[in-house]
Amino acid sequence: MPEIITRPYIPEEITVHLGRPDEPAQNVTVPFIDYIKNVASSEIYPTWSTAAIRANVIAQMSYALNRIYLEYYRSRGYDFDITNSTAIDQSFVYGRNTYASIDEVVDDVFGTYIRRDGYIEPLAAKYCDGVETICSGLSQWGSEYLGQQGLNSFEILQQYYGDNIELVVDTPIRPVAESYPGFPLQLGSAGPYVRYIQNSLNRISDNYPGIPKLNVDGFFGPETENAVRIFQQTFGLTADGIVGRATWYEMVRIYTSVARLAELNSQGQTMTTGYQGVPGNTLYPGDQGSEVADLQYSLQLLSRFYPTIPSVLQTGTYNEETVNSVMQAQGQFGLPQTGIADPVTRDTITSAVLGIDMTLEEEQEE
Amino acid sequence: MSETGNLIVYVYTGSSAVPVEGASVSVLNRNADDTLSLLAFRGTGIGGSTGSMTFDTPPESASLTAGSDMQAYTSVDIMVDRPGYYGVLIRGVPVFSGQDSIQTVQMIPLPELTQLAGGGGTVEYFIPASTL
Repeated sequence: MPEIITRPYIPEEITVHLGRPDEPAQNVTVPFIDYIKNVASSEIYPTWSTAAIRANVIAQMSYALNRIYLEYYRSRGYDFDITNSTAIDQSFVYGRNTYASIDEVVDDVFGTYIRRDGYIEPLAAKYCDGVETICSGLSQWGSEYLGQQGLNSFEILQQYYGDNIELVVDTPIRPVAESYPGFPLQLGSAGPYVRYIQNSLNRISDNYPGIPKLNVDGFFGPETENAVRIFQQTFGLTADGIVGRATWYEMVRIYTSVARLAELNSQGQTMTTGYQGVPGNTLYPGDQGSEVADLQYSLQLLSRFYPTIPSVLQTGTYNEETVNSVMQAQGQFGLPQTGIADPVTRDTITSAVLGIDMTLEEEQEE
Repeated sequence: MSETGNLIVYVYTGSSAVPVEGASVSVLNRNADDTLSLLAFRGTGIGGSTGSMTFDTPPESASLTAGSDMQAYTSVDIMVDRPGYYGVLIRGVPVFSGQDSIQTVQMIPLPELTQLAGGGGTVEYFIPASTL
């Protein structure tokens, strides 16, 4: 039974199909916030007025959340949430740059979407450039001209989507454990949120040694402020030493990434202890046992490094999710996409896992 | 071209869990005859970043009205290399007047067998021109 979702939420990640729905193409899974920064950087110009950028970002976020909320593609049997076809969805250029001005707006309005009065779902906010193509939704160039005339982002959105819209802000993010407390933490703050920041920074500094270690005392003193500032500099945020929304979510994102990798590494050491090479047998869908669990571990680790390889749960059963992940891995490594873990596939996957170990070990020795 | 914009490259691996220090970052201009000329060359520091690099751009006004005769931005190619990883080439990274372009690069460690064989390879990304 599919889970019945009553309230929209912001997913931690989104899976994008890099082509039209029926066209064979790669899927990539990226953090949702990075997806929005990418879409905005692909769709509009960073030189535009802040009001225009805000209006466009909110429309793009509403559109993506509408696809996710309605499970538009998933309910039709596809294994992705959205496509990057501009004829159908919105532009997303995998691997591209973003812009500081756009990133700042996205950090600021992340979790905001448009809905019609009386509706629950995020508005499928259509838009087009307004010059080459005209549509019933927002005109991108038009929004910039309205921004230049001094309209704010909500007024711009009302121009195109009507007066009967409202903005929903601070939508919960799932399944991230720690949501932003709703107020900035800074010099003089105290309590469990500050403790959370100090713990996170300490963990992040294991991998990013430029960030100094802190006493976890729950008091936001000058040392915490300094560490926050260095964290902000490291990740290209405004280095004001204050933990607002943008810094909070960037910290949660990096912390999660660091902790997940560490978890996988410690698990991998158990697995590769006494490693004797991959046994020459084939694992098939439906198989169960520790070899399947090891394969699933390997796919989990690879998914942290290869965005085209989806992660799987380590169940010990060669289920549909595992088939799909094996197929994507086979595609990544230029093997026939059978979804069956034959000896060549298993060897190739293991070589990629050991390569990660090898490279990261060298990275840590320096 | 009297106006300028900035580019900062951040190099990570493992979904940003690990910064890649000491990666070579080359910023290149692709000439009309498809040859490349080097605009800047940097190594990444302890946090995986190159720091800010400045390049000439078209005027900001070219990006503020539809149908401008001039291209709205300058575009550069970025190459990132570090032993132990696939190289990365990103083509067509835009730099706008007065703006910071942020290029995050997620490096992929080479498989063990490729590393032992002394091999490599490059992952390529292409940013198409804006359709605005």
